[in-house]
Amino acid sequence: MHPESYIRPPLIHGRKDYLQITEDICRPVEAKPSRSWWVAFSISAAAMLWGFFAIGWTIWFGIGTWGLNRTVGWGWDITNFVWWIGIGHAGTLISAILLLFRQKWRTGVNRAAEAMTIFAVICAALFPVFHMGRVWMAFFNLPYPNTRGPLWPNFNSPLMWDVFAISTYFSVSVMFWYTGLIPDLATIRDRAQKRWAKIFYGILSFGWVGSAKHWQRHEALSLVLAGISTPLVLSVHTIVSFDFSTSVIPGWHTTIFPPYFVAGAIFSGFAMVLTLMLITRKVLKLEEYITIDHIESMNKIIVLTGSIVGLAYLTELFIAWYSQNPYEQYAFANRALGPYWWSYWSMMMCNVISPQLFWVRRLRRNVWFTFFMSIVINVGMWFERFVIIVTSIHRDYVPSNWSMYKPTWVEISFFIGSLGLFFTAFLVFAKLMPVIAMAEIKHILKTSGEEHKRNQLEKLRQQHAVAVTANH
Amino acid sequence: MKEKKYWKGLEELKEDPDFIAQRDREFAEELPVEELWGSGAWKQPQSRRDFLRLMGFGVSAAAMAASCRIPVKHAIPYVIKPEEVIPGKALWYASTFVDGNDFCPVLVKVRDGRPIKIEPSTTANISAQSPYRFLFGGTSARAQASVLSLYDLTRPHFPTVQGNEVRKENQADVEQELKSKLQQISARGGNIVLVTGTILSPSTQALIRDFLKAFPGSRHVIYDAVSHAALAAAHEKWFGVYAAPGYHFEQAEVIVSLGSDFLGTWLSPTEFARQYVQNRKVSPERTQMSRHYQFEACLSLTGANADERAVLKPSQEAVAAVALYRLLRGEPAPSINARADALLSRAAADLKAHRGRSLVVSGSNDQAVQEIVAAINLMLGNYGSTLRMDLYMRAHQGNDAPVETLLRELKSGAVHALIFYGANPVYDHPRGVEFAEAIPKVELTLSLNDRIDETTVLCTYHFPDHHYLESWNDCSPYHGLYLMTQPVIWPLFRTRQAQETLMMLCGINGDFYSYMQRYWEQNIFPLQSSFTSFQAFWDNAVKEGAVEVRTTAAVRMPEAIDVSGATEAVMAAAQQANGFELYLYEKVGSGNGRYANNPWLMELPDPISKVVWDNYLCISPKLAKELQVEMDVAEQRSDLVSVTLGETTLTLPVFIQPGQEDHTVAVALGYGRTHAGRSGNNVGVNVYPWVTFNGQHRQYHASGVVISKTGKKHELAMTQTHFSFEGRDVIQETTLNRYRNNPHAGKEKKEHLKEIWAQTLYPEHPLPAIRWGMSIDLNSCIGCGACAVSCQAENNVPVVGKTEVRRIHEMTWLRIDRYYSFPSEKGFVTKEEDYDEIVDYQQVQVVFQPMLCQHCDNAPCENVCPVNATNHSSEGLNQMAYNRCIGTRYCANNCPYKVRRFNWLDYTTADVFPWNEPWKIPTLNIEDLQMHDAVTRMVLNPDVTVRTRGVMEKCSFCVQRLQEAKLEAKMQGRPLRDGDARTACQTACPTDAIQFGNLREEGSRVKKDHEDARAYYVLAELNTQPGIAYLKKVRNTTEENISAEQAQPAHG
Repeated sequence: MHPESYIRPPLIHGRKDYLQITEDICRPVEAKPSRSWWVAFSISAAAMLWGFFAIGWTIWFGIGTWGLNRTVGWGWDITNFVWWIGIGHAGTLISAILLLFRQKWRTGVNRAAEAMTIFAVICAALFPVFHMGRVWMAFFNLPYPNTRGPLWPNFNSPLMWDVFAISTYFSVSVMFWYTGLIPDLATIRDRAQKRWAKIFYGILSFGWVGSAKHWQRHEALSLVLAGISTPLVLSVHTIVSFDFSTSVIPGWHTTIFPPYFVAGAIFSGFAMVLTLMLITRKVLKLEEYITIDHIESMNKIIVLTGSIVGLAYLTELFIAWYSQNPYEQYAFANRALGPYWWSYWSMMMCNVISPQLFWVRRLRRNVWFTFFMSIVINVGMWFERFVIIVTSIHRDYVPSNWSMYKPTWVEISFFIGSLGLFFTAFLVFAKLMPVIAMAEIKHILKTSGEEHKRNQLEKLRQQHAVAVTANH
Repeated sequence: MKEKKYWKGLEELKEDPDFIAQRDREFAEELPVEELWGSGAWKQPQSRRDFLRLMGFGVSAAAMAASCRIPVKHAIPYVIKPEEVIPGKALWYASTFVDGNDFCPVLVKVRDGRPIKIEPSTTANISAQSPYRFLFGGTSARAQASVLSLYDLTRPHFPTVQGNEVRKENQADVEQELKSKLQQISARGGNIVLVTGTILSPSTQALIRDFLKAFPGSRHVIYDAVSHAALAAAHEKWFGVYAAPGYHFEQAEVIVSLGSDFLGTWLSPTEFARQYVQNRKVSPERTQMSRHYQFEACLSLTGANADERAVLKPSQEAVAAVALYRLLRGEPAPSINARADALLSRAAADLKAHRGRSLVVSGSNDQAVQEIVAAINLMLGNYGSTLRMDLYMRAHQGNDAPVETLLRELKSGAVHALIFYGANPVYDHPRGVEFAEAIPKVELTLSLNDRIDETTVLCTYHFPDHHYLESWNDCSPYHGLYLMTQPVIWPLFRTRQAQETLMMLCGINGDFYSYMQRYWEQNIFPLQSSFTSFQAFWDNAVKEGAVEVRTTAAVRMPEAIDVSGATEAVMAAAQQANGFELYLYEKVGSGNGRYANNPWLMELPDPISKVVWDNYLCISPKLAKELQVEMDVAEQRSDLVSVTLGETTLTLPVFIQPGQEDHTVAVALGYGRTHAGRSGNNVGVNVYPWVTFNGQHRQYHASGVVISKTGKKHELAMTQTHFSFEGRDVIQETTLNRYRNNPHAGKEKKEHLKEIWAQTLYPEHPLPAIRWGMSIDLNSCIGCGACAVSCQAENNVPVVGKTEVRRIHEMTWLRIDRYYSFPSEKGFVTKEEDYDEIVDYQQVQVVFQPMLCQHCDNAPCENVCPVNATNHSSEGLNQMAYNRCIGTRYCANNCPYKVRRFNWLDYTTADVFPWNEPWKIPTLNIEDLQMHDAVTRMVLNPDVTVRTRGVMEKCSFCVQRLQEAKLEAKMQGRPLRDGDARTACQTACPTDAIQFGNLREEGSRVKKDHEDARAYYVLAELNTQPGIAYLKKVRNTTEENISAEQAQPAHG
């Protein structure tokens, strides 16, 4: 345990002891779901079911029910895929990289962020799967032993790399998240009154008794998983960006994509974490654990990554001009001034201009403004992917096949369904699991808690008084 | 003898009742159903064993259901195999496609008894010196598509009387009744009229003479939907033969066309195209090229290929003829417009310098104009070289005045019996409504048309004709040339050859086959000397499908043609023109409406507008601005306008067309059918009512058109929505002069890229023996689209319908890109952003580029497919494994040429389920073209997989043909020769613009082309290493600004 200066703002507000933390965090799990929870759940579940219907429609009649065409082979499907994958980045960044950088404020948000990651990756995975013309043959993507030669997938294809990158990322994220959950689940189990809860949490907590050995192993495993996760944060979106950068299409074929995509992913991931946490802390009354300082820290990351993304946009424009490649030049001129100009300028407004407002401390610490910005950034990042995908291919090399793309209700419903799935999953998670890592937050109570800091200060003051008296 | 019987036991022998009862039971013991049911044993908790058993059953049932993926439909083996039929091996029959005035000698590919593909004839009977040789070796889109019409389920299935089926057993009675009625009418001196289209068949003509003899008082009226009668009449007047001359564009070094679309729709366009390109092919050895001047009102396929083009009003076409005539005689010429005047004087000078090696043609149906044009050609000494009256054309014999007379008689009730054969005046005559009113009043009406068309539905009797692939027939399109049509399939429906119905009526026994044989024996056999026995001659004619007899018709050659009267007439007529003018044209694919029910032709994009499934009012951009009408190309939507000419007002969508005269509107004939068939009905608008009659001939242009906006919008479907090539290196062109100076011009700018290309991550494909490759000569390609239809037929490419084309879901593997560029003060405008610089949209340069899979050696599609469904063959083909494809569409995104086609919906109905076809989708209003029934599916090529929904497809270089060629060579024990393997697009091309072969073979045609000075690869800077080389277009123009040469060099 690293001692921490009392000057640093506390990460846990209020007079808390270990029991109080347990009470605060277990309350939503143990209480009956509120009316607002049911309302939110019903809306999300309805959206999810509508999305499933759209998926069924797609499988039944074919991709032709979407607005894609000869020229634009990917539209909302891959836009949504990249958007969700990007959102999924914050969780791992918080759990792994911030852990390695000893950012203690991460303990307040890491659990929810990791859960969000997992749900976002599930939502993301829906799109490349169900956008296939023959989804029932999706298993051809897997390198399984077979009697066709054997016939292997094409290891040159970035889509193939995606399959590995995303499945690895998903499994490691789930492991990391679940490992962290075990002590907390055991706490809930120990407090459970109802029979089903005892059994349910009993199974989920894997027989955790909190022995020293358990804690030792738990810590070791967490560290190992953090080590594995760290490169994944960078690799997943790098590989997703390869889908575009290894192609020949002007606007896609860009070496800047890996860092640009990773920054964009973190940018959108933090925005989504903020969207969720701002609601959660309010609804579950967890303001003392997810403090305004947490929010400010995240806003600082947003302004950093947003600026990186803005730099990337400008670099692209510069390189397009500097390259003197007529196709590249046209592609970028077409983005800004072509028929999809509105998507480009929406992206620029949302991602580059508006996050700059976070240089102002007051705005960084304003909950409502932060919430608004988190939505704006998510919209902007969605447009970024739309701009990259659709405006690049709708007018590529041979002008005779230039075309326009408009989504149909099926694609839109699929997207709404993915939002429904995400929020349904998050609501269920918030009801069944502790949204804040109890065990981890207890770790920092004695270093970063407000109560602790006050005591520490009191002690110092007394020592000082004693010293002054002694001196006199 | 009683059969010996064995018994199993004494009980059986004794026929013990217990035993018998026991024997007849299926199970030796009662099944314990009752017991179990009664005892409630079902409710008992299931044992582990039961669970495993049920699960095993469930899993295996699911596995079985899942593995039965593609249902096999109707595979019927031969019980007795016909001798010549080997399953899987195609038979080829020489035949002739004849449909109205369209004719083309063909080879019919028959697989397992089904004709599936039309190929150009390759007969040995036509020598390399034959004047008819250009009729052979190429096909039109219509000939290619004709095989689909055979399987059209809306063809009549049986003869009818007043719309009711004539049963087989009653047919003889009905025929007798019909015959006696006809005899009665004839006996009492009634008026019997036989209305036919042009009869190209000499034996049918003989039969009609027999018919007219058998029924005194009968006469024959020849009626062509789109008339070229003025041309024939002009030649009758001065040469004594009512016929168009035989044209020989291959002899012409200067061609001047006054509104004649001779490459697209005029007289015999496929043949003319083949003649035309003979003087258009350039190489370092042959740097000569014909020069083609075009004067026209709207941009035609021919105008798009012209070296020099000027626009004028349709009424001024006649003035242009007068002007040209006077310029050639050195007299002052009437003025038209600045550009046309300048071009006319240049054309006149050019013509003068090429006496006897030039040709002037006119598309006018005004006899005076045609006389002036004939006078010009005569003056230039072209008759005998580029025009042959001694080898005159026999097509387009229709005459217009007798049809008007007939209508007058019909209305006055003077006609007692009316027989239609290949004529549909109710639809395609300008006064079709009057025909429709008059026909039911005629005492006896009989239709022999092959469809229940607009005219046939009004007739009492209908004895439907065969399709040409079911018939014996002959065809003599030119004096001295006889072509043979032979049946290649047993009639699909209860139809009968029209000639046999006529024979029945006039009491000639036997079938038409023997009638025709007799005719040939008596009339054609004596004309030749190669064969001494008729049987040998006949056998050879059937085998080869063509006979050429060296005779020339005796024609009077006039000393000079006096055009003073004609000149006055046309100048007077031109004076009368006022206001907006209207020009009516035929489309290259769908023609005069005859092919309205052929989905392949209806979905063939118009070569110029790229619109499918519609006709529309072409107007110039300037006029559009004046009228404040708009066309949104990206949305494929335009304003509907109401157009009035005379008493007829029709509502049409506008199409803003560059290259169109500013005060002329143009619209295609042949649409708006009501009885064409299931897919052709109510497509577009019928504009035949706008055709006028000048007292001699029907006119296809008029003046005094009033146009007004309706405020409504119309949805068009087009396959290309961007018109400029954005100055990109995709298109390369030059002028003849520049080409002569430096044939390699433009090549050096990509030399430096070779170093970069050498550095690649991926190893090169070895391709030791064969690297299939193609070359496409942009100078020869006229953009007609025959290749596209041929590809569709060969490769089972589905038709998707208008709605899906609008959604940019068309499936064609081969498309023809058409780009415009415009001269401006600063040079040529090729980029859309510079369109404001365009001074005059009337002046346009057009380039056509067939675009198909380039079979790149460094294919961007191949390395992105996650499942290796598209990969490289050891012969350089970029191949698709359809059943490996999972449909991520990544390959299509990454294809810089965008030639990959995704099966968005279940277009082919080859999917597992019958309930998810595109037209069953509730939210998309996709039309059911009904091409999925068992009969229409007979046209499918069994050598090519029918692709299911959700997989990617694209040009395969006709891999099935390549395999066949290799096997053939192997079986003959010889190496593959150049020309053994030919793709479907290559064989169909009438101008030989497409060459195919092995790039590894020394001296192969395609290798030579790839090494040609003009050869370039599209997007070579991407280092895709395409297998298709394009040969730069060369324009023989004096205007040295050529759009694609001023383009900036592209970097990789």
